[in-house]
Amino acid sequence: MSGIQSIASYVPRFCMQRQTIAAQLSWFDPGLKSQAMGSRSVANWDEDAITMAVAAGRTCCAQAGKTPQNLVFATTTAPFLDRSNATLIVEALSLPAETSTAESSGSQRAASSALLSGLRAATPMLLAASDRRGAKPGSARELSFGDAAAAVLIGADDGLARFLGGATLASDFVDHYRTAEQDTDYVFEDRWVRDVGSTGLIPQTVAQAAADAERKVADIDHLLLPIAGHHAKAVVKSLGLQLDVLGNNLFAELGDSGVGHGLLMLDECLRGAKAGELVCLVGFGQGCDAMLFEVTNTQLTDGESPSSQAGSAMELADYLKLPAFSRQLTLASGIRAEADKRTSISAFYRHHHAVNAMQGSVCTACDTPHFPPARVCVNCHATDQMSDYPFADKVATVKSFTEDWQTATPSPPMCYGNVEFEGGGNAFLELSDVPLGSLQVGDQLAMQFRIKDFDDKRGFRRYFWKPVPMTVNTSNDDGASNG
Amino acid sequence: MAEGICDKVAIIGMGCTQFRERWDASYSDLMIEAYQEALADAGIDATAIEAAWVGVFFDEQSQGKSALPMSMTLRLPNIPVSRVENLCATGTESLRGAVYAVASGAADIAMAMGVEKLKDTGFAGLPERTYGSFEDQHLPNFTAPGAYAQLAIAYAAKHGLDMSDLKRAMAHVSWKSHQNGHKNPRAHLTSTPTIEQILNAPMVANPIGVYDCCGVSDGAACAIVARPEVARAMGLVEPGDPLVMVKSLQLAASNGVEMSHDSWDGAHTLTTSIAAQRAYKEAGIDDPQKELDMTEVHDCFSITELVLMEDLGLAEVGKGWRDVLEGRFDIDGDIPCQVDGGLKCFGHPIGASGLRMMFEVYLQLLGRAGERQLNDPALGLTHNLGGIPNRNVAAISVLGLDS
Repeated sequence: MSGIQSIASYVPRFCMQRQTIAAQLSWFDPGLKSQAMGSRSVANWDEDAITMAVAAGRTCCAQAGKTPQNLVFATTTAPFLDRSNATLIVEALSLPAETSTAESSGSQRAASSALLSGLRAATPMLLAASDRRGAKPGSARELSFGDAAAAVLIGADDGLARFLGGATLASDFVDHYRTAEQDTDYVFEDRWVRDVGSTGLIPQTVAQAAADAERKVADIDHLLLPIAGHHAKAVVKSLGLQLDVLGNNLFAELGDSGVGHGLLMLDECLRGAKAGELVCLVGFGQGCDAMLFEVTNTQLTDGESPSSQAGSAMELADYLKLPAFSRQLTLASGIRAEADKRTSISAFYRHHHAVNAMQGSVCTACDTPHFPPARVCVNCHATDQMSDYPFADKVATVKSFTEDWQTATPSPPMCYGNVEFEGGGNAFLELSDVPLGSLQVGDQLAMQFRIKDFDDKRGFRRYFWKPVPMTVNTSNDDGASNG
Repeated sequence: MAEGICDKVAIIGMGCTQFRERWDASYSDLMIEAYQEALADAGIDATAIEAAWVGVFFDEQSQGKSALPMSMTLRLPNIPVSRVENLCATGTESLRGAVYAVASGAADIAMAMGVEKLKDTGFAGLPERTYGSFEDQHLPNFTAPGAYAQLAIAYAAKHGLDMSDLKRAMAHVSWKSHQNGHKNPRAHLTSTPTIEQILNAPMVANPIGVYDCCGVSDGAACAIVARPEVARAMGLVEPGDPLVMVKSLQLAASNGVEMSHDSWDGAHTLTTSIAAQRAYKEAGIDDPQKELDMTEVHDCFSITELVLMEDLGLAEVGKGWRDVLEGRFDIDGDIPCQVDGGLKCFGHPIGASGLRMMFEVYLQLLGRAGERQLNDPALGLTHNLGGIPNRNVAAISVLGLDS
């Protein structure tokens, strides 16, 4: 027996209307106009597959109130090819060092395959799936893609949805590919993919999964196909089902977000599903994964649904922020951007819990919290009477701030300020996702794990925690600070 | 409290270069310029100097570490020469070394130099630098205007002030300094922008605009100090003529309270008030508002000067902006501030600024300030704030005439 204990999604705070993209690029490809409906989510410059996975993973663990013993990170856009991205996520989530880690990659089935294996083995694990997908400016994918992450906690209990059975199919059907040398996908003909790939491979796998679950295909209430809408319709028709089984594919709200997309659809679906309903989740990429769940409990807590997050995202009105935030467009940042961002890796390791988990210290003599952690108390001066103190989950309040146009940042102006944490402790921190002119003294902030800066000389990026506004005072970002 | 150094040491000579974008001059040229003027002013020979200090901040980007660039440039006769650095308090630190040496009797005559060659760095503002191998991993990549802009945001919030009112007061701070700097041939900026021009300048770091920022320049300043009895015995001053005396030199360094403790509100500089109390005590000042005739404070940004008036006890907390608007610190006000034009018009070659401020007080006390001369000032204060409001070194000197 196994099931889904908790599921959560993270959709970035910024979005762009597809019309905004098409308006800039229809001179190049008038065909883009036909796709210019709805919005896509846009990760800020300081987000990547790791930071979004951490955001989804935090909510997922928090609402379950459980600490996973295993973590699997699924992505095809891992920032590091040889440094454990998953271990960094473990530390950012403040999970125990004993947590086993694995990474699943290589296709759009990276998450579904890991999920199916975990469910079959009834292994308690956190699966965090995340992608920040690159698309060439002017390509259809620039409009259809979105950035997002989802995390699912599975275990031996039924939880929210009980796993009934599944099937997998390996088939070297190459609808698109990307090599280590490429930043963006090479894409093959869509009609062939639909007719031979989607409708050729998915229905048989769904049928096998139903058989494994000892259910009938016709009993499926929700079929979750993280593929283009017209492909999904063809699959439904091929399975002899009604179109209303198709769950919201979220393409209109945020776009195709890659390996985590099926889980985002599952998150969205479970919020509206009734107990006893049958859900079939599919993963497609050089084959197919399908798994069946019976909805057992629809009482989700804490996390906001993907569509709701996408719906409250702040719109980027300036198309060029899309290629600029994804580092495809290099803007002139001047002499300040030439500063060497070399990381002293020995100093980093000495302080990696402070940097990765925002772990501070608290004085056991007078209860004063400190970030960064200190040995001598700033309040009572007691020495070496500290214990660990986590700051990542504390709400912070703005004491002072500025929007700085002088410092080099990928999205000027850089917003930073002095913040005070609930329960005590102050820090001087860079903020993120702050629309220009929206921040005020006294605003409440939540900490998020983000990219601090890039060291292009050495191909390195470092991470740290940034406060983001819990509610934003304006809804339109034209010229957003940090975003 | 220790007995302090009040009236133990006299400044017997000073020199100060023109502060400019000195494309013509190296750090050596700047030092020689200030040194020659100070030597001539003191009326001594180089061989009379028994110890020397040099203050420079961005060493790696101009002259390298140690005091050797000065001892070799000036061909000092193998005397003890030390380099000091303490952020923007560097110039004052340099003087502190020389004053303590003379006060202790370790030397009869000592010299303090401050120098900075900023304009070879290629930056419009201050160059980028590291804050430490771990600090760089958690501190924002802030700039000086951005760090000080926080003072304005927090000040307006704390005192329930509309930002447009505070901006107007900040503009007055800059306007007043430009009016003063206009009369100073050694100042870098001699323009006289209007309040409206100041208010409408491009934003650097909200709410600090271009005219709220001090200039960026090259410069050097130099002081030669001696015990008063030595100066008089050597005939360096005419009998009956006054000497400029060091009444107090005080520093206060942050211990992390501002950065880490809930008690700091971000709307003032904690160390300045602490250093000021000590300095007033050391100088025997009971009521600074009545006794001080002039101040040269660390106006790196307009808001800094405004807040410092309160931290120095020269304005009531929360009312400083009103005093500024009423002209209380203008050249014809109660306590003129930045009579020479301040950092605003001189620019801020870090190592030189503290001594440059003392140079103006020195000239004013001796009645040598020309067009800017105040009416018989007897006591002047200089102040530096090294670092940012969150963590800094405040340095204060009080200079006055001997009785």
